Amino acid sequence: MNKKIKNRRHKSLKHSGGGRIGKPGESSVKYLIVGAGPAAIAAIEAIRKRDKRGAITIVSSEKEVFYSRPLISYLLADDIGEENLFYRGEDFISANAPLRIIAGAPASSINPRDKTAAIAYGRVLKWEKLIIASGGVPIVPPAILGAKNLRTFTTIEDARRLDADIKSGAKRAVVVGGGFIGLKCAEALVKRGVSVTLVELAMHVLPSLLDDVSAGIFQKNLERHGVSVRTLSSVEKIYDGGKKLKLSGGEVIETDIIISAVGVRPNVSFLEGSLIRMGKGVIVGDDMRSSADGVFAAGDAADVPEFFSGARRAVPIWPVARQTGAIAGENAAGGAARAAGALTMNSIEVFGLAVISAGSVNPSPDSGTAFLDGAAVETADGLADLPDGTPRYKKLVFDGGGRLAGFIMLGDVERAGIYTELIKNRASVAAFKRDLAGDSFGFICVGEENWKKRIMPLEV
Amino acid sequence: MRHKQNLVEFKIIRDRERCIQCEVCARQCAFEAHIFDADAREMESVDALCAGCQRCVSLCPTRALTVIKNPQEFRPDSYWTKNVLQGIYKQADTGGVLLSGMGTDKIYKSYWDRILLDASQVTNPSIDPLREPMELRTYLGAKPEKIELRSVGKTRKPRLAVKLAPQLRLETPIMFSAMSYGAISYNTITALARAAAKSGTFWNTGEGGFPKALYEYAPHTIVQVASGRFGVHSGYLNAASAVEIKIGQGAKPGIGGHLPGEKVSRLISETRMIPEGSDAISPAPHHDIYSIEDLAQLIGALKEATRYEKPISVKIAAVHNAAAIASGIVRAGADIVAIDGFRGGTGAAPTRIRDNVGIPIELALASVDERLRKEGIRHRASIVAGGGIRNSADVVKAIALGADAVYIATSALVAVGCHMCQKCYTGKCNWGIATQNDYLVKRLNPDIASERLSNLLKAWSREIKEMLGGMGIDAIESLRGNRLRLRAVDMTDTEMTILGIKPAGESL
Amino acid sequence: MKKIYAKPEYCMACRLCEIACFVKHSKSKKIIKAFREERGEFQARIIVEQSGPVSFALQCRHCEDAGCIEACLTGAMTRNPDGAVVCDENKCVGCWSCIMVCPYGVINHDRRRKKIAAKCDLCPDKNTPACVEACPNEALVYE
Repeated sequence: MNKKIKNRRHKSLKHSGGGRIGKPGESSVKYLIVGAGPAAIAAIEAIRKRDKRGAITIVSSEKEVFYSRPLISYLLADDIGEENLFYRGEDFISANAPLRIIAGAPASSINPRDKTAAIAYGRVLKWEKLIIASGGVPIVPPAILGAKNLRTFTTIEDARRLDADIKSGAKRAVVVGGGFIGLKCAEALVKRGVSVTLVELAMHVLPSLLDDVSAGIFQKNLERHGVSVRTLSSVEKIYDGGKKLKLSGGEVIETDIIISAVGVRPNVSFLEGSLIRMGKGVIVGDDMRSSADGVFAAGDAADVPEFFSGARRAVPIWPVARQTGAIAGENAAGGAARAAGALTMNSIEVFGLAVISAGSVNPSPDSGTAFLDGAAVETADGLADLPDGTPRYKKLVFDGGGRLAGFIMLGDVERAGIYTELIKNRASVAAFKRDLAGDSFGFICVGEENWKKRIMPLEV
Repeated sequence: MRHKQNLVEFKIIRDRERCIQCEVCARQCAFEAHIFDADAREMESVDALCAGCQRCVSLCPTRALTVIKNPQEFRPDSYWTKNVLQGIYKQADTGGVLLSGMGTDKIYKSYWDRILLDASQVTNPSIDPLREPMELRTYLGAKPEKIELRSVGKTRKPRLAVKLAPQLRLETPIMFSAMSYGAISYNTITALARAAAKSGTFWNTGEGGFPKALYEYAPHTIVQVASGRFGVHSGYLNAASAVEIKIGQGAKPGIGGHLPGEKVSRLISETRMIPEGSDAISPAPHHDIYSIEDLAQLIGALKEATRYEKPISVKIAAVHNAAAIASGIVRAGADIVAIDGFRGGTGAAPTRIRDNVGIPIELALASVDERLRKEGIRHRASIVAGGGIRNSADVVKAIALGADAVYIATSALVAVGCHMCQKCYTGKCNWGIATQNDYLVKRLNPDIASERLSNLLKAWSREIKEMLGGMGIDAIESLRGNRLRLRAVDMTDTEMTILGIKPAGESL
Repeated sequence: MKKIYAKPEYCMACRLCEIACFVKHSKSKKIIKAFREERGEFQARIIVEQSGPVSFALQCRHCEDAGCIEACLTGAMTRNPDGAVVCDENKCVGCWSCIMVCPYGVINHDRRRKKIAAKCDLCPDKNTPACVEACPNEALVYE
């Protein structure tokens, strides 16, 4: 063996990571994914479509992996058992081998230059491609941060804790936050026999999903089912370790537990010092690439291009996690996919009243989006109740260019997806605007050129 | 005082135990005889509006509906029947002419039902149509005076020395009679055209014109030149296989046709070459045919226009002098004479004309055939008989009486769903046949309908072969005009003489 | 994979397909009993869309890029080996995310025992789906 080749071998030991063990305590993998939620699952499936053999390692701070966080409210309400939470099971792991799971081990730092990741217990992993899909962590308002009876409602462990609280006698709860998480939490608690006071900072519950009319109907339904609602309200001070609290209006409430449900922020503290460009989360392009080579991000942890403006921000909803996870996975495995902008959309049913909303539902001059100049709003609020007494409300928001920009459907949510698709396609709806807002709108309203080829038999 | 309550023809009986308030009956009734009462949450029926078309009965998923004749009974009177009284009430109410669709429903003697067929026994044994070839093929057109042959080429093969007049070739002696696009829907004529092509026979456009989109079926199409000359242009004449001059129609001899403006849609206006929304009225006579010589001139003109390549047919209603008229028509140069008996159907005709004018096709056919034979000109034109041909037995009898082929129309429409409610003139045909209404025309699926029509022709052809075989005949040509294979029951001597057939019981 | 297709030119909006679908998915499977006892509890999984004289019956298209499978929170919505998109009743919690994304709006609520998402399942235990069989004018084909 001549000198030249010897030198080359020495060099490769230093810099490559592909599948060979380097320094002691270090291990290498082709794809490292931080997180084990829907974005991570989508990434794994996308990787495997292109690369059947590249080793994948999942690192997750939670002990439970591949479960669906939105389902914890159903778990707390006792509608389902823990085994129903898992989105993927054992066969998923073997079907996507080589796949290694390191659970209960949060990532502590990332070095994009060396392509290493430090995780718990001093372990260091080398990676070729990194996908950050670490999800979100709950935000806690400073006023209640010190409460001894503080709970959050994001993970399965949170649900178990609340279940234990209820079983050991908790009868009163204050839920801080009237958004999606807060309402589902409140609903589950009421179903378990706990009396709930809901405290929301904004003018109405579900502030980003609803307008004031629909929120009014929604709130009435909450109150009818025993939830006390305080809007334009926040916790000013806590006493007695959290057993008593004073709201901003002066009202004092006694409670057994306080749940912080004001929202989540991207779980990216472990990226401090990594020099990756960050907003609230990891800033990515429509190909899910971050500013660092070989580093992708997806799901709640990423600031993704938003649908209308293209601006980067977190859109922490399930469909976006799935979509961005898939794009990240495909591109990590050598693809060149591009995500369509992330469109806000939500479906929630609380105490039997369902609402689906998507896009821009509260257009206003100070909403900051230029295209909404000249937005027209069609509201159908004279809709008759459903036969079982459920109230109905529908609102459509159009942009100045004759396209649908947002909608709210309350009470009767069936067929909502037709609107969602019109928004996603940026379809021009001026021709059938009247039909869309009507009570008997349907798929046939989107115009013959659109439906003809989708439902008729193919020409032979 | 208006007599609305005495004019209710039908009674709708709804079995409440079976009715599930699904509203299919309400959606399917163009006469609006069913409605859903949202407050009471039950279906309601309005007898006075019911046309008796049986559409609701046929589609009700639980068979909850029965439509019967209104059992309201006047004092029994075999002369002043309920129907007679109702006619007078209606006319006193409105001052109008009574209209009806389809053919006459009155009780007149049916000669088909009094003619019996022969079968072979010991001599001239019968033929099994499943084992032996049977010839139903028929050629319509003028036949030569005599067959002259000459030998051709080295092998001296025989070839026809006379030039044959143009012929229509039919694989079975049944054609679809004239039904205009306007009286019936576009989907219906599409079905007729397709079935005619599939079964190797012909359909007739009637005076509705020949839509360009159906030109692919031109090899199986007969176009009509009627008194209104709707849609007649040289392209029309040359597209088709034969041209038929319509002098009259069995359902309404002596009067013209009428398509109300409401039924003249854009496509009908284009096809008939008339303004959209205007009434399409065909005058009673052709205003250029006032004598038999004028007819000869028109026949000649049509032959010129079509370069003598297509047979020219003349259609007349069966009336008293049918035989003499037919003779004149043949001498005027027609290749085919079509006779339409008084049972013939229509989209709209004054009821009194439909029920009282014209004569039965059986008698007209027999007398025309006899007369042409006597005059030695029977070979110069084919005879096509129509007007109430209901089944294959009627076809066999018609051919034995002298017809070369038959025309069917009512039978064809019944095959595709018609229930003979006789309300064609309203344009509210619930079966999608006699209508131009955008909602109703969809109900006739031409794929299904053309298959049903082909099935009908196939079934009748099979039965004709069975009956021929039973008589020991293997070619339809051998039955043509063969009166000796027919016998009569329950007829007067005169009737038997006119028909030229012996009474049952008499041998050869 | 065989799917149900519509022929709008022959659909007369009689809605016999909706009735057949309803009966097929009822408990009793007998039309009179089902309508008497179960009406209002659930809906047919096929919808007849109408706009003037134009009409056609619409049901789940079993899309190749099915958004409902992606949006489903529990993994109840999956594709079976035949290629059809099916909802596992035992897993569904009725979050209606699938309704939110279905471009045809053909998923509905079925709240009989528990609330679940219901949609056309191509009648797996029949050779021909009930709606196709029931159409009196061959406006639905299975091919």
